[in-house]
Amino acid sequence: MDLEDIQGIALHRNRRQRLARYYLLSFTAGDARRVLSRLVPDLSDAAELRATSRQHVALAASGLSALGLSQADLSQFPREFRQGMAHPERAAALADTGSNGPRHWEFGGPNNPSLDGAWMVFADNAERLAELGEQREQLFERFGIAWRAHEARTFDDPHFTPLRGRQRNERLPLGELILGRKNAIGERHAGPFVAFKAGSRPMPEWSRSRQTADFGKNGSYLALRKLELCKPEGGREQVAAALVAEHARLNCAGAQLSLSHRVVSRSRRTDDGLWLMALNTDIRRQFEFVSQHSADSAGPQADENRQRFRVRGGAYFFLPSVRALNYLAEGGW
Amino acid sequence: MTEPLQSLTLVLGVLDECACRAELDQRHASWERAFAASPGLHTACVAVLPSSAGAMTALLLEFSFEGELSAFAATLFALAGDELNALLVHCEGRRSLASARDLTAFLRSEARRSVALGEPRRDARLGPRSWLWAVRDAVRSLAWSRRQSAPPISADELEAQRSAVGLQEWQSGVPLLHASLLLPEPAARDRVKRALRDVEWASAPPGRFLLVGQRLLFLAYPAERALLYSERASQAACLALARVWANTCGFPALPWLGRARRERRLQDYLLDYRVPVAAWFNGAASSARA
Repeated sequence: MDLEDIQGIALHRNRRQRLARYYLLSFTAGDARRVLSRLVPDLSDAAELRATSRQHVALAASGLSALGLSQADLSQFPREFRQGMAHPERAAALADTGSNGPRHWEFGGPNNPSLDGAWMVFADNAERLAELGEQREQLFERFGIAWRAHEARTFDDPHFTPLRGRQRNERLPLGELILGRKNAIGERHAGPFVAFKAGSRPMPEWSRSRQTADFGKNGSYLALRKLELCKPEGGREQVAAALVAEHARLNCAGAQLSLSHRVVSRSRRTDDGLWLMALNTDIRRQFEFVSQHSADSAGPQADENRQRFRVRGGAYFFLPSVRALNYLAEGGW
Repeated sequence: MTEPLQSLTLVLGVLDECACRAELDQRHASWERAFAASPGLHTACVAVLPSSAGAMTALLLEFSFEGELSAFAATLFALAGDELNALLVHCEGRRSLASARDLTAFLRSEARRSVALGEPRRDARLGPRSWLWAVRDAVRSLAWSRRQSAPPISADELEAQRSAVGLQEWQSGVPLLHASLLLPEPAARDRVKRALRDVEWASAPPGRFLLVGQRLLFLAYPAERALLYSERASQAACLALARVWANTCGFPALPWLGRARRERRLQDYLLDYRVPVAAWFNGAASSARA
């Protein structure tokens, strides 16, 4: 497996890096390509095991377009990703209506600046996080990238078993998490493909003598949602219990379903809310299906807990492989 | 003793599609109020089927109810007579119904036979079929080894259709209406008819097939979301359903694929060619919500 080509967050939970800062980026007036070319060398790949900090990047459809992918290239991405989480159709699928509707969101909604990408920094202590964050912020400012930072930290969810199936020894096929690998039905999802251009690095075996390059290979889709407790009542323990219950709702719903409906959670918490982060390779079949199923099958208690939360923002991102990011940054494979 | 459940499906050619859609947009709430107030009504659906090569725009009306047709027609006429007449003006024949008796006669004359999925015929109650039937199914499945046919509608039309369906998806109990076109081969109709006879044997979640001209319709009222229904249906009756839809445009080629992949293709086909419904009633979902 090309561990060096897969972003680390796809395979690692980053438990050791308990603090996180998410930079939500808007490329509107900035030079996104130059920023990306400076950031890519700092990316953490899946081969990196003992790091004290990790950094990852995810891009929305608008971000990929700003970085040079043509409409023809983008049209190969799934329509859920192209539409984005705030699209009325996606909002309907996720039951984001009323006060949870995209119009009321803090980010990612129609009344917010465009959300083109997310730079995620994870560190084991506050000093390191601040230091890395400062470097990034200077870079964003230098190249005119608008950003907004949000902090989060790890939390313990005892129900977290998304990689295991209902049967003993049943494991989640990698293709349900990473594009280009065998999924639960034994298929390898290929694409999206982009025109092949030679880059400065040696080409991998599978891309030689090809007109097009598999841009999606080793990538993944990231569904990001910020949930906030409407009224954080009770002490810290009660708030934590509510957060875990809400997180478990999604994971337990997935665990009841077949392996082709699992999402892999990388969620984190704040003082009064959750950053739900779900990795998958088929947004409709995995993230949206599990979200719908968890809403439909939740018991009265879970339903009551759910109503305590408000959706504050969300977006669908593509988590490209390292090679795909280099392609975007340098225009070559 | 409970009254027998009757199903009526009407497909009427539409002369003025825009006017018909506008009428339904304007009065869909009245239709749904009328359905909800109709005693004995189990399911109901009103939809406009878009035109495509070989099939003109059509209006679909479907009702499943308990009791006598005349009693149902009397209730429907009292609750939604004006709405129905406003639609029929835009349909072939430009009929106007003056009374419940006219409606009864109209329903009797226009109702079409549908084939039920997941409701075995009486002769099917004899017990599970032998392995010979399974072998026969497997051999017949080889007949799918053919090229994938072109989709029946353009990419833009398909996208518009998906968007309209997608906006309804969050509502539980929304009917799953799938419209496809028969392949332009003389033998396709006969193959579909044969396959539909076998569909009645399949043990699958409830649904109905209807063959109208070149159009093959599938209608189900799942109590759950369409995604879950499509998965259950394809797992339960993949071979039987694929044999039906293998004779329609846009169906993916399935030869030599493993079971899971065949099921996935079938699910995608079922979900991708859904048609939005203008007004509906689903008693099962309403009672589940209550």
